[in-house]
Amino acid sequence: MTALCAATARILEGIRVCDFTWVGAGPIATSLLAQLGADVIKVESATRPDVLRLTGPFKGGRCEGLERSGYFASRNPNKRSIALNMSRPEARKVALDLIGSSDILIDNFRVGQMEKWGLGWGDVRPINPRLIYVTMNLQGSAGPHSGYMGFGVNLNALCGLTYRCGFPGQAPFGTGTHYTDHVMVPAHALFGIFAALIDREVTGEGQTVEISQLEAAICMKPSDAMAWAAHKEILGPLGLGDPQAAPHGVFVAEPGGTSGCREALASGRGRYPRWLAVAVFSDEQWAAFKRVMGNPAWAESETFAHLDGRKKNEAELNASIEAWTRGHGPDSQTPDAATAGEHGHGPQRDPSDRARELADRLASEGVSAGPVNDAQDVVCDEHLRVRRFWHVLEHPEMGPTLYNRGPIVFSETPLEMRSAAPLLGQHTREVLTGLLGYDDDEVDELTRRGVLV
Amino acid sequence: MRVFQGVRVIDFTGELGPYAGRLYAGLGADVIHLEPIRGDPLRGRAPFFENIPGLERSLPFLYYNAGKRGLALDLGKERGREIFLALCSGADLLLESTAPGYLDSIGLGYARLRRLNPRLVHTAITPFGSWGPYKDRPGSDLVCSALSGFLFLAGVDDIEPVRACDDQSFRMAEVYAAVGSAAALFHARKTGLGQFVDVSCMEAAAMALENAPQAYDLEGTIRRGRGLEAGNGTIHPCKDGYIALVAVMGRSKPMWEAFLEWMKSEGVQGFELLDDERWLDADYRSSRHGRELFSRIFESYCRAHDKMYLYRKGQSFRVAVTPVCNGKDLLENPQLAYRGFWRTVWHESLNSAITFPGPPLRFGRLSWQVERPAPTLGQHTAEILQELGLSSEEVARLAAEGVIHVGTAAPGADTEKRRDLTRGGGP
Repeated sequence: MTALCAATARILEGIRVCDFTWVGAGPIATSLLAQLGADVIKVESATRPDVLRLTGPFKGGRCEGLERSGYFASRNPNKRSIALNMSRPEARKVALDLIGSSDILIDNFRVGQMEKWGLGWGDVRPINPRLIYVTMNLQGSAGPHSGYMGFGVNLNALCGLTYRCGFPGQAPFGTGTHYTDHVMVPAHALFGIFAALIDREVTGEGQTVEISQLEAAICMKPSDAMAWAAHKEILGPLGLGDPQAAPHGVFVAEPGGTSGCREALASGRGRYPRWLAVAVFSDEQWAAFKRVMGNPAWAESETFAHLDGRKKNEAELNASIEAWTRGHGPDSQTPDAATAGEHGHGPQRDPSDRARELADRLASEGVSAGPVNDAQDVVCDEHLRVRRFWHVLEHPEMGPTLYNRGPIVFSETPLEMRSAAPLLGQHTREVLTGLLGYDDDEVDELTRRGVLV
Repeated sequence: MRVFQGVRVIDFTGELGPYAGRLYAGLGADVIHLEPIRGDPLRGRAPFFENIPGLERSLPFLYYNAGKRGLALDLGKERGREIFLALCSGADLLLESTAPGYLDSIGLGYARLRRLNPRLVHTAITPFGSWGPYKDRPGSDLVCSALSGFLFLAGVDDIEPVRACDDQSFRMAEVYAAVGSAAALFHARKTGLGQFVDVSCMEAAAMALENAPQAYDLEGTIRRGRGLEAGNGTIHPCKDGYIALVAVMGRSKPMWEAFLEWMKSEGVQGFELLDDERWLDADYRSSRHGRELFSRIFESYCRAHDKMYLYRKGQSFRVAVTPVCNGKDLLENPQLAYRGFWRTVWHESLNSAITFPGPPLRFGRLSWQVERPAPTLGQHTAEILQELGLSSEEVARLAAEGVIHVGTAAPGADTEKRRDLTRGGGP
């Protein structure tokens, strides 16, 4: 196990979270709370397990039981888990006991689910007036579409991201992920939680914090709606470009399917092209870019001297640049395989990585450039390793597995990665006897009656 | 009630960083946006109001800096740096997105600020973080997205990836900077001690890799984007655009049955071919045969209808289907209208109202308000400096010396007055 720093101050020391969230956005938010030192108690049940427990990737590729999903694990480190079957009437009392001793209650169910269990804001407020009650529903708790269903990819579409995330003239694509779940929704929920905590310091009272996932998402991509409202313009697909930069895109540095060892090809790595991303905004950066290319004759053309010309002739510009990134140009240099592979510790990179080599040369000249990293590249990335972004935590069933900390580095109160994701119900007895005052016989009895499962 | 009433935030951000401060402004903080005399580079970013570039016309600037007051000053000048220090002495939070080492190099780094104000929370928002091997690399949204692994996922097979709009890697860092700052402010209230908070675009965007790192760690596989499994996160053409569909996930029979009911009730041609257990198998759904068959049947139906019809109809069967919306669709979305989500603020400098997104979250007691339009260049310079105790003569002198720029609410309409000020006349 690793910890960023032992025995330092924790921002949320003494704060308890009763965590009813599941799947994506909710667990990511409570994971951050746990890294900040909160005691996060995840309420789940084998009778209706978090669907991510049944969704891959799985340790060793095998889906057996509920404890082998890395998808689930990545969102749930540092938490405790109790098994509580909310379909049993006796479960409500256990839930209320836990809520009574919590500072924060959080769920991301459909509108009305908590009320159905008798755990709505009106139900729980009388027993705990200091409680901060966080809901993360899809489109708000009232209104014509408040009962609608959707996952991250649906929200990507609904909030306007997908429409612009495509190449002009082609079908829209999107981010390829349930993106809204990953940052847009959990980070706004966390901001709301801290605002409510700060307010509670002053007033002594809790309150509701409501995230409409749709609205939180739109707030991070305002341009399309603003342009329509301002002058009736529909902003179209963005492709890889930027209206104020050229070159701006990705360029093949190594074609897919030809490089890498057999093992790499089997995993998918090497099957895909290796691209170099480049963003040139100013003429000064363009001059530096040309320098790194060795000032080839084509680049000296007046056509490309200024942004206007580079934008107007972007297809031609990009084709010439890609000839260079692929190493076909007369002035291209082959990266030195011997020195590129000499990064000692940690997992090995490809011995020669032309995209990285070119990116390093461009960056050192002041041009924004970088390889289009896949997951292996990112996990093995030197910068993220130095910054201790990735952590390996020992899981009872999966063994050592990969996690990342939140993207915030505090100088005085570092985030902590203490323990791997919990087994389902791993802490049921510990929480009920240690925290809620149940005795072992009561726990046995509730287990026998199918409540604590 | 506004939780950050009385909280003073100094916001020295440009193209990267401004959304963090906006969240504080929404909850009542006094956010002072500092910018260079010649203007925040964000003022030069498209789209522009009516597509006409201009210092006061960048829609992103008007949105991200709404609710803030504006002060234009030159940190290259000693008096400019003194003003910066005076502002930070009385502030709770400094949000800045300058290059790592820049503030230190001009004597305004965290070590100095902490001596002046031990309670200050100093949050740096940078492409790669304020330390580490990449800290000095030139950052851009595209390259941060690429290095973080976020960009790679936005494509399938060996097709080049596509970029997310509105500089998402910047936005991700900003919203996490707001979170980290709030956590540090909560701590500072209790302990009296501020701290340095370091947030980077690369790390923030690496939060959005879904399960790709775990696929590599646990199965040794490299994944790309969704969209190649029939009915699970697929985009389909309809009469007036596209829709996104999640009709099934894993082996979820109830989801698939709801979808079948929808198809059946609409009498979709060939729907009986979908009534088969093989559709619960992700491998079949990902096969060429499965994908083509699914598209043929479903698209024969959805191509005949518009996206709002399909949205309402599918949702009435509890199927996760949504329209692929553009800006117009968003403004016309009935749910957002019901919630009163959009906010309209009059901008004197444009002689027009500007509509932008409303609160990203709602509270039981706290209220969200951004009633103040984004500042014109230097709009509040004089007001803020007078609050610091400078006389109007001193302000005029600083303006004349080029240390500050004193603007007005509606520049252009008021150039005469501004010229007077820069010549040294009183306001």
